[in-house]
Amino acid sequence: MNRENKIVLVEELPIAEEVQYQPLASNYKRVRFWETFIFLIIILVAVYALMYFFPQWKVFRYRYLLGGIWLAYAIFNYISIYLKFKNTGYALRDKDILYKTGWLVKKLQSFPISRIQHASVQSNAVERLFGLSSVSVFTAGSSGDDLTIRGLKKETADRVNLWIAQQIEANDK
Amino acid sequence: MTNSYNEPQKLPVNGIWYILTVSLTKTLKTLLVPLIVLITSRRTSDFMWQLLVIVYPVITLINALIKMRTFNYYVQEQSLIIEYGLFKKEKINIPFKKITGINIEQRFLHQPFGLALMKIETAGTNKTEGEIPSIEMRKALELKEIILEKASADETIEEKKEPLLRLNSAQLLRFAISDNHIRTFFLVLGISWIYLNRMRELMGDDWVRDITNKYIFHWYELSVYVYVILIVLILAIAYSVIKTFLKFDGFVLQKDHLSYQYQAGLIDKKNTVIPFRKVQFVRMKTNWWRKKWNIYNIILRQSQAGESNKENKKSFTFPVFDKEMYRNILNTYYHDLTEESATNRVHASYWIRLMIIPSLVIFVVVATAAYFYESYWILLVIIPLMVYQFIVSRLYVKNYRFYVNEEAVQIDSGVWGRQVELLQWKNIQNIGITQTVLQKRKAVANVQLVTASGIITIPYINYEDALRIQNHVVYVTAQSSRSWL
Repeated sequence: MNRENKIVLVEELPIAEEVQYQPLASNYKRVRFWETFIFLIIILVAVYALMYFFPQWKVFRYRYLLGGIWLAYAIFNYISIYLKFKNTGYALRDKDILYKTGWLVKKLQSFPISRIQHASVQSNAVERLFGLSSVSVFTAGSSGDDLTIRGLKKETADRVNLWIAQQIEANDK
Repeated sequence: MTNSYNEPQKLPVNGIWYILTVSLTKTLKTLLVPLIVLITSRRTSDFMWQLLVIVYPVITLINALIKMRTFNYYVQEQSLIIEYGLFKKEKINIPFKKITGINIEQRFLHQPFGLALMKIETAGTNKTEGEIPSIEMRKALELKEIILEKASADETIEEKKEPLLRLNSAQLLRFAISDNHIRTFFLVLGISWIYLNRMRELMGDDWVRDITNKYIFHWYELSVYVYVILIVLILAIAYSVIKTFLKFDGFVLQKDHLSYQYQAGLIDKKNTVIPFRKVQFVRMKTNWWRKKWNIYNIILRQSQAGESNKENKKSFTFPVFDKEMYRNILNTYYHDLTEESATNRVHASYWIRLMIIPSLVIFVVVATAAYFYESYWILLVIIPLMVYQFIVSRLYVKNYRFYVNEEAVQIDSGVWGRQVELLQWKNIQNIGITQTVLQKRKAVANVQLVTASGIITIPYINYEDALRIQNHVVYVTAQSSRSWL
């Protein structure tokens, strides 16, 4: 973008980069650990089942290669968990919610309060074991691009949800 | 207006043909799979069979008749009421304020009787959409007027509607001919290939070998190739012409202070209202040939209410045959930014990113072909394909430019043709900045502008500019209300 074409801000907002982001609850790493573990086991069982029922398939001649791919995938996933956790955070601001995540591809999203339609709190079985919850934020954009903040303590999630509801209400007035 | 529609209105008797056809096709669709299963399993004397073939359609038809005879609609203060049902009574209440669009469609079976299908769209869930399956055209238009009037009761400006744009047959023909036939060409080729393989299964390998020896591997018989290409091209053009006339015959676009209305269609006539505030962004597309002929394809992207992803239904496409009209329509949404704002470009290295995926596809496809046909000279095809991809990628980056001001962003792109996207910041639902490891080194990032009608991405711009855009969007959205719903 050309320098002379800077977008003029009438009201100076702090640049998203300088914002203090809230980290996720530290035991979220463990949630991800077990979720990934269950997922990897399911894949393993599925492959073994296929091997049992369709032994004639050519792919199964390369057992060691398949095993290697599975292992590499598992290692990549576990490294991802820790690096992603380090880079994930959210910030509740006056006019928007900021969320950053990712390590190979970093993503920084902003959800303006005035465009949020509603928010909800939910948790899956693994999250409940560790006392964590997720907050989902919905806009009118296509559903895949809505926000889900995972790895919040249950109280925090409820508080965030309540805060969003209050902000929406205040904004609608 | 003669009727204020306060009294319950019945459906016209002639409408039965349309309603019966609809319920029959529905029944057929439901029964298709069980029917095939039953026929193939040869248990035709089965009781289930008789039940399916006789009882189910009869029940459906009786149901349709009951619905038709009990159906009535009327206007009640601030909403439209639709009622039907004998045993289980349905009553749908559609507040005028919530109505976002009215479509009047004249299906084939409506035309002889001067009837139409009226669809009423509302914001929020797509469940509450009202539909009057057959209504007299006159009544449909009157009812539409009443609804539009009441829906915008606070707006007192009364403007006379006049046709903004009409398309005649010559224009439609030009539009059809200038379509991108390369895509259809390959589609036809691909389908022929599949049929050739199926013929091989049916007629045996020898037959195919005869044909291929005779026509395909005789390189000196070039005339055969010319004929094949000509025939496929003619088929492709015929397809475009038919498609265009079916969709756009008798196209009239009208405009008043709140909305566009358009009607078109050869067999199924469509009459659609597009309120301006529902338009999320405007896109213009034109290919190389159409650019020369001054044909611009305008796409108005509307917000998709509810969870349904009926993309096609929510974007309206029509051709425009001069630049003035194109600007006129652009101006209704916002205005052309090219003259007032400075030109911005994407980072020059973006062409490398554009090369990666096509190159992989080319390599995999060509390598597989070489492996299966065991002729490694096929690999040489990679060179011209890569050169072409290189030129396309460089041209794309060279032609890509975008313009911003405080209210909107405009993106111009295209390799041979041109695409223009115009989006107001206030129509953005959320905004994301993504940055890969490689992008970080160059301090560039992609900006994803998520709207209620799809995503627009600006690739490879300065990271700081991306942040500035994000901040600006937050600021603008905080100022504007959610009037688009």
